[in-house]
Amino acid sequence: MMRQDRPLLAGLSFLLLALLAASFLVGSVPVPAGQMLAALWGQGDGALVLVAQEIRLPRALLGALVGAGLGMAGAALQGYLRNPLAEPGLIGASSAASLGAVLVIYFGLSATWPLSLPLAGMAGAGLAVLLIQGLAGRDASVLLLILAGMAVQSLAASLTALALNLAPNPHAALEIAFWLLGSLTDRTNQHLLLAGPFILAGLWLLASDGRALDALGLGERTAASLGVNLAGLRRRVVLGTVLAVGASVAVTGAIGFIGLVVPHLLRRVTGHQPSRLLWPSALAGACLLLAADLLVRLLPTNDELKLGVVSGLIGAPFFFHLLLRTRADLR
Amino acid sequence: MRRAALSWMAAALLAAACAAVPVGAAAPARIISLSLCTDQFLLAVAARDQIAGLTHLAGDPHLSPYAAQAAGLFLHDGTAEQVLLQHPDLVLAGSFARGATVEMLERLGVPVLRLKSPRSLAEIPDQVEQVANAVGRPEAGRALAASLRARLAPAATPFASAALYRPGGEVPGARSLVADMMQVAGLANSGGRLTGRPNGRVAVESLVLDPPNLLVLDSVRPDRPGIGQSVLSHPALAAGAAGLRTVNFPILYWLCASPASIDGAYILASRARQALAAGQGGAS
Repeated sequence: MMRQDRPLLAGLSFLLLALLAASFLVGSVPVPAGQMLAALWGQGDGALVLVAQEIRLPRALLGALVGAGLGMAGAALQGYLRNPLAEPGLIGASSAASLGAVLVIYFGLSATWPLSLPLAGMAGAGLAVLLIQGLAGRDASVLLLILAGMAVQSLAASLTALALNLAPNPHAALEIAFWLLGSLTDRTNQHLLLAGPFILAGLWLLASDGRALDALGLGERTAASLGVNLAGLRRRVVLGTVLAVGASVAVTGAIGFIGLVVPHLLRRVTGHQPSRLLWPSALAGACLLLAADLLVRLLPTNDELKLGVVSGLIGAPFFFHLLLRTRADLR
Repeated sequence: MRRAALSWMAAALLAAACAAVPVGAAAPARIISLSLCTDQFLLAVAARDQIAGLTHLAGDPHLSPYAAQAAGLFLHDGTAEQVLLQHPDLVLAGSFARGATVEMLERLGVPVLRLKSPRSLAEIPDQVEQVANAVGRPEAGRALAASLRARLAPAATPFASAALYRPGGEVPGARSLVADMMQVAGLANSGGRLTGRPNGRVAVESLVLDPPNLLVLDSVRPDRPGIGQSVLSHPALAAGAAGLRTVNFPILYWLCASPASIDGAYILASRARQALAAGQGGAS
């Protein structure tokens, strides 16, 4: 981490705190901020305390953690695969994590053994990352990576739909929107406790790879000659992504594009070194997700919008822009 | 000769009766119902040996109040093929599903009685009479309809407010059979006020901050887990916000508007009183 990035990190941290507060203070029922904050410490009306501690707190914290995980995983994957379009959603890791979560929730395993939920999400994400590596390999062209990602994504989405249709719950098929687009609505402290530790572990693992990723940017041989253990780096990046993305998606569904948009916006400030990009990406990812979740709650739609709709509305045009810019590579 | 001519005429009459919905003529002998809701009217008024087929849902004790009576009867899968092979002389169809099947049956000359699903409890006795006339048992229909009407006395002033809470946070509002049954049970439905629309979703937060006296749950199925189901066991609701009591009510009474819905209103009233009394007795 470089000294010149301190203003950026401080600004993003400040923004994150402001958005956390806003996320805690905005809800479907307007409550004065003072009462809400008092209720967080257990003071005031019993119902308000419940809303503060059991509904809004987990939503805000989970939003920040999931955003941070997706943002940093995007930055790390782009550095590791040396590909500007690598992103947990686009390479299919998110959809595959959804599939894992759907399997354990709808067939009853997570009810008896809650820890199976993040584990299944991570297993799904892990399979997707390994599949992508097998299909496209590292140093693949942008086009090959996107195509491989699309294949994994559509396979995972189809299997998710199939699993939901086979589930004993006849309404399960209607819940596919949650798994494909993601939502933080009415997530509980249990979800936070289940996913939080894994996401934090993933963040820590990815953040410690900054220097090695910098070296990898110079090419594999150069990196090896600089003392980077390439096999070890690969294990750490894959495991970190799997921890952060798998656990996130298992409790919120697949929220797309955060990991694509955030590193690209930040590169204008930090330049192209992965080590300078990782922590800012985590902070900005958290900010973006919280902002999207605020928007979801403030828009006067009939039903609360799914988060993936908002992140897609922001991310997809951005994706177009990136495609236009990298068009030369695609030919 | 005369006897042969007479029997020939009788056969011709019978064939004519089969070709159209009979109006007080010979009672249909092979009746098939195409929807869970029409199943219930048929079971309530027809003789058992008149019923040639019901939907496969009619035997599900979670969904059908007459599941015990449906046991042993033929349950079809709703395709025109299965229905035709039973050679029905009357088919009862609901207003929602199986539009294509019904059209095909009509094209093939099978008499079909399309029933509009009742939108209120008061319309249920009327439909009982309509179905009873169609199956040739008007007296049975009149008797059942009269006893149902007698039990539909206007409710006293509500003794508690209530909202039905379904998977995914869905809350049926003011314009529904649910609201009607609550009214007869002496409950004021606050669903419409919570959602601000006839039907909609309610966030757990809104429910905790503006709780009805009673939260009615009709779809808790631990054996069928899902994201929607998980909302029903949200800790903020389980912890029991001030004054919020929950009561479990079998969905089968208001899934379809049927004669059993009127029993259901009374069952709802007694369960609601029990839950509120238990809440006051063992209040924390």
